[in-house]
Amino acid sequence: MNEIALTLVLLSPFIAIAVLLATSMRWSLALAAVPAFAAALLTPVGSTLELSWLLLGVHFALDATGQLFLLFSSLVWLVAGVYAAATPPDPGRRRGFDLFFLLALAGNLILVLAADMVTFYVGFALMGLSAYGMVIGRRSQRARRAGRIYLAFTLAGELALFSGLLALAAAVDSRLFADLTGIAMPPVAVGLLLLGFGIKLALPGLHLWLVPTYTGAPIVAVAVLSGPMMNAGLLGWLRFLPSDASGLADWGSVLMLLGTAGLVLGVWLGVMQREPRAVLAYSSIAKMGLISALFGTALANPVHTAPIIAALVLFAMHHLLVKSALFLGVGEWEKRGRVSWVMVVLGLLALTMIGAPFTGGAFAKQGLGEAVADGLDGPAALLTLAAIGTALLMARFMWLLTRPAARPSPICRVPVVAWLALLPVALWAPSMPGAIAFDVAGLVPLGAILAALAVMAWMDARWPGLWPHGRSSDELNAIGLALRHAKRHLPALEFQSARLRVALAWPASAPAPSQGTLVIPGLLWLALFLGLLMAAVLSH
Amino acid sequence: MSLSASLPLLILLSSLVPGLVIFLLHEESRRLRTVLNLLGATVKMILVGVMIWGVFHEQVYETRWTLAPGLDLVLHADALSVLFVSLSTLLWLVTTVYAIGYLEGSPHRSRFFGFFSLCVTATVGLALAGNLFTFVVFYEFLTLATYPLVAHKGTPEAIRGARVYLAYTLAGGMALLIGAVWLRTLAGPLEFVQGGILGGMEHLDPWALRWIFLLLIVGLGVKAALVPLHGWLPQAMVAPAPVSALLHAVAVVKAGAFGIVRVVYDVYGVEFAASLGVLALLGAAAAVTIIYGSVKALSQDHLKKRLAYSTVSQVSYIALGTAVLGPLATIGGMVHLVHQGVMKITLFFAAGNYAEALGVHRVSEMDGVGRRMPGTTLAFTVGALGMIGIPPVAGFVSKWYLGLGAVESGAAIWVLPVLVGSSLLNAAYFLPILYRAWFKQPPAAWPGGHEQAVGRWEIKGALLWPPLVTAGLAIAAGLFAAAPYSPLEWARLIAEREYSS
Repeated sequence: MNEIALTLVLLSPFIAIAVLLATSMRWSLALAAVPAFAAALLTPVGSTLELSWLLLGVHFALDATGQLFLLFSSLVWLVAGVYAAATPPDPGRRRGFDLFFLLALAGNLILVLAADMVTFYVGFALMGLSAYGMVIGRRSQRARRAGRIYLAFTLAGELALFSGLLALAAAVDSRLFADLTGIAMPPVAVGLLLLGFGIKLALPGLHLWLVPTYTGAPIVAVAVLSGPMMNAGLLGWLRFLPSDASGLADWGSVLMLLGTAGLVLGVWLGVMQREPRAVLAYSSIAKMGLISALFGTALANPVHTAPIIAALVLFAMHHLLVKSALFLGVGEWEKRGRVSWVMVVLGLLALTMIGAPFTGGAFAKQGLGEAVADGLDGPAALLTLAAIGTALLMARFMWLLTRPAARPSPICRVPVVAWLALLPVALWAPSMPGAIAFDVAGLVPLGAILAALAVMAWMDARWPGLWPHGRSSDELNAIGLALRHAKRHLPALEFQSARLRVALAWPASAPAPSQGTLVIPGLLWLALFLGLLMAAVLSH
Repeated sequence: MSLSASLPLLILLSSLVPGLVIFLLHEESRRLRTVLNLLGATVKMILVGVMIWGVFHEQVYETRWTLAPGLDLVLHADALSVLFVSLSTLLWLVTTVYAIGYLEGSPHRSRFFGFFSLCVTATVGLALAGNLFTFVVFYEFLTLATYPLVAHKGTPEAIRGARVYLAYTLAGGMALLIGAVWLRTLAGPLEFVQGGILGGMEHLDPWALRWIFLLLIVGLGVKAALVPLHGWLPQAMVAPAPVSALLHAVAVVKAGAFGIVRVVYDVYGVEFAASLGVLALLGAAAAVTIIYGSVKALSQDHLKKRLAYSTVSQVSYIALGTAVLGPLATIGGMVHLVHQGVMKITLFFAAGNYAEALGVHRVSEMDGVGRRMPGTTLAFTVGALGMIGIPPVAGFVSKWYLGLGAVESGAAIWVLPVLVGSSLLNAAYFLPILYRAWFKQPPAAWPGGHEQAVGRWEIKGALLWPPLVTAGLAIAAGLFAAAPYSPLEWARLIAEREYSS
């Protein structure tokens, strides 16, 4: 019975594809995630499904962590599906988007339920690569650039993951996650896995794809990218780096530093953005930085591992839901402009994001605070920093929303209903009773947000040109400009920079060959190998 | 003659006889020629089916003629030969269907199909060869049978391509022959034995064996297109599409790779070869070839040339898997023998369809072909993704085992960056094609000008179904890799038998 349920969950996106191709019924987009949602609520933890003849032998299982991921991810996919299905298609274009949407969903479900490494990898690759087709959505120059960058980073991530997987599989001689508990992790494998999933989680340095993607892709794509897909990276870490394996403590410290850097970077650059989407993108970088830092804490302090990870998963789930809902709301804002009820709903979501009292955000944050409370000063300070940073970002976000939206476009009512239906869940997830319990500490960020708003209003009035309207820049853009500048002074650079510039700069002056973008992951790889080499030399 | 003694011979005859009869047929007797072709291919399929079953159950199939004392012509079936025989048989059938559709109405079809059958006969003979002498005989036979196919169009360009092909392969054949004769004088009859035969002969001079290995690999490396012996392959793309498909997937290139596998495993023995240090050489050559081929492919605008350089790169995965000591790498190399064939033939079929229906020969002309020819482009996509190694297409399984073998062997960890680099490069030269094909707007008029009249499908069925079938096989080989009788399971069986002895 449970096997049938899991089979149905995994097959439903493919059935939806068949229905879509045969009948063009776009409601299949929304229905495809329904079995997954139902299964997350109804199927008991511990259900397994084993298909030994498939691929290299495929194992699925539903455990407690997987159940949470399945529940929240499928909910967002469901709402995004309604949103996509109800949005009128671009003439002649829409079927491609729909197919990639369903393929990405299939990949996400596969990886959440996967109980062995190869199956997880297959799902992860399917999800990541299919999302490319969603990112390039309308084929605008901006979207195509976003697609190129996204694809290059995703491929680099896949390959890092693939190599890490091989190193791990060869070391433990098994592919099952269950066999990873308590083993000694080979350092190369850990490094590669951190890198591979780190790209999805936008660790600093690996985050360059995120802002172009979130600002260039269609809003439905961004909603699922920023929610379920991003959190798949976290699930990857949880699955591949079990807390009781040895040899992870040093990596945990590295991750703490990287995550903290991500948090600072996200807040720092986020408040300087000119587009709401870009602010949310940097807010994701900051949040994932926090999550990575706390995951690093858990790895570095084996005593605290279990409570931290439990709280961390809830925190991540809350973020998944709220961030997706925020992006869908930005989509409404882009279509309608400053309609007051849209602003109110977005304001509520921003409040739960910063963990204001009576919201799920407060509960999730409190849980984290308690988990790191005894004896870990660093992470506790980090939480405070994150709270203030998030408040600043949300203030900036709301501030930008008060400006007129760029492109009014046709309005459709159905997606709004789905979005509003998501609101209460997003507000109070992961626990409503927990959220209602009042917490005075929750007032601190609220104060911060008000103060920040006031400062910004004052600065905007004082120096009107300080934050110009229009599109945001991103770091790749800046790198491209810097290269262009450097080229003028260093003619020798010309040969290399021609390709880089085409790949990085936006707006691109000429249609760019997409292989140029691969220079970036190539450099990443080089850096990684040098780093690993150094680590190996130092450890001997 | 009992079945066990005659089955290898029957398999050989099932394509030799139709081939010879077709030479005698009148150009216009299209129906008879088609019947003969398909009948031969079907009979061969059935016979190979019997052989697969038998070899799995450890039956012995051997046909042996003694030409002179100590000089036997041997056809022998073991797990490795069955792997190659079934690949060539299956793809021969598909390619025959494709060729019938492709060449409809063109001149010299009897000549073409005659040599086509001889080419497959040579390939199968080479797969079933039971000793090095037999192998060399069929290796040369293959060279000669393929030459008229490459030159088939008769244009100056085709003649030149075929000449280059002949010059390279004859020189390579010479090296192979010298190596084989030298080894024969040192070590006696060179029967292929699982686990190798030279390891047990301690009186042999290791340096002589090293030189012989080099000669053999150079001879085989010409066909396997190891850099710098690959020059003929991109030129040979002037051949008609079905020939290119067969050339790259089954016949010539694969024969070279298969020969390398045979020499390493069943003549030298992989452990003995490793102790001689010659595997490192082979591995280095393969790694260089893999990267070089991919880099060259990046800059080719001609679609078939890009695919040709891709073959240069991908076939060396087989040599790479052979060069890394350990059963997992062996599995990876062996299974890629099949996987590369199925995926590459799909790509060449699709390339042929674009040229045939739209006059599209260049990557830069492929904008929007996915709209016009969705079936063909779907097949092409599957093949391309498989080459990159994206699951669940078969290429992923090869890459997984090659990588696992490299990591596990420890010494060969350098293989991993080669695999990763190659995957990145594969993505860099295949994904832009897919982007063009699916996401760009088709032009107002195709380069061919006259579009082939569209019937029910995008192109006639005989050209549409073969790529779809092989694309399906490429997915099936990956998706059901763990199922019994899959290429992977068969490669496992081979590795088991190679390392148990």
